[in-house]
Amino acid sequence: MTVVPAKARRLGIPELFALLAVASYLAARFLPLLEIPFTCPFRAATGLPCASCGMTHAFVHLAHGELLAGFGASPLGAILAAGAWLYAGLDLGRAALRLPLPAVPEPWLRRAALACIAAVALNWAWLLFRGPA
Amino acid sequence: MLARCAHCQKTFETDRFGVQACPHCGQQVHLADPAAPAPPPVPEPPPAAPGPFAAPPVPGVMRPADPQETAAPFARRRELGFVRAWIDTWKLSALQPGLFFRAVRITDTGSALLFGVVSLTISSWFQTLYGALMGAATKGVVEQMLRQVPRSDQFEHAWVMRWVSGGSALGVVAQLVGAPFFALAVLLVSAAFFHIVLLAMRGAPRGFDATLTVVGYASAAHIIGAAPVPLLANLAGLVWYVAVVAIGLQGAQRISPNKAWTAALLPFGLVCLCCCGAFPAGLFAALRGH
Repeated sequence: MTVVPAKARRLGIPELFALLAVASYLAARFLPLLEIPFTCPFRAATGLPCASCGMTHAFVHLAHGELLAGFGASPLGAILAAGAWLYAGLDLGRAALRLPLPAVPEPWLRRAALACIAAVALNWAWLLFRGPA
Repeated sequence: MLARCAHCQKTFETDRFGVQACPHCGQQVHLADPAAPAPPPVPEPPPAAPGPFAAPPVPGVMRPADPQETAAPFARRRELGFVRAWIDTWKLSALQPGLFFRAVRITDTGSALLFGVVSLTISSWFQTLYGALMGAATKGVVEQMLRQVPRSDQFEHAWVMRWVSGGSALGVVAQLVGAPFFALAVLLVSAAFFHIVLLAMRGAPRGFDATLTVVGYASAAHIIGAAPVPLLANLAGLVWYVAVVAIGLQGAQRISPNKAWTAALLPFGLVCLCCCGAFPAGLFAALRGH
């Protein structure tokens, strides 16, 4: 008979997302991402930024503690980076302490999803209004 | 009614839905009832042996479980053998997504994720190797295509050209080694995108596990991207993947086709707008006579 401890540590989907966020921080902090010669095809073709333009710059600036530069590159990117890294810290801490995953009610999830979609639209509108960085 | 076996592709007569043995090859076949009503919410039975990727139970959250649901062949890979389980799952997911995703158990997210990582990694490895071997030839084709696009000078020396021309040997090795990790990230992020759209449309009654299961098993379609046809193989694989995701979301989440197709197409619409925007923009400009 195998005895399984009541609070056995597991690698679940929330922890995989947290590790993904940690990997994004390490990449933004230590890899020369901004030196990669990437041209956004949408921007190259139209001269206008796409909805996700500036995200890499926002992650890299935020990882180096440059908050204003991060928000200037892409407000949504900066919020996404800060949120992802905060989530990673909280979730890995929760997993280390073997605390249960808090249940989020369905209506809250739906509001959060709608807020995400609105944030993408607002961010794109702001990038278009601001013009080329 | 007439049913087709996903394993031997032969048809046979049957009078019931559910899991049954094929009279030709003896393999188990999932036959989901398309007219079956949405299952009532019942407590999910505890998993027999949670694997290392098993998600921790969420207190207070109950997901509807279908008593007719069965594990995908890949979730039974220890019993069937890894390669056979992968091939059987590939056939079901890519060729019979409607039946498969309606009947597949959504609690085996670890298996779905592993299946997706394996499929995407194989596809990526083939693409990388083809890219390295045929870089020069592909570069010529892409350069010719990009000349048709307005402001095409922007693409010179850009990532597109570096990507199609293969890059250095060190870059190829890095791509091969990093492919599984990149695949895992792609699966998680794309599942999150799909789920956000589903949540916004009230189209996720069975939770994130169902979405992740669909995204993982639907990655079977990416294997077509491993074919040695530059750009077109990827495009065909992507179209197939979107179709499988839409059909899969409809079956796994028990939602309407409209919601499923919207959820499948909207994130790709945004991504395509960003990454492939040059081509529609070029077409638009050409139509306007620029």
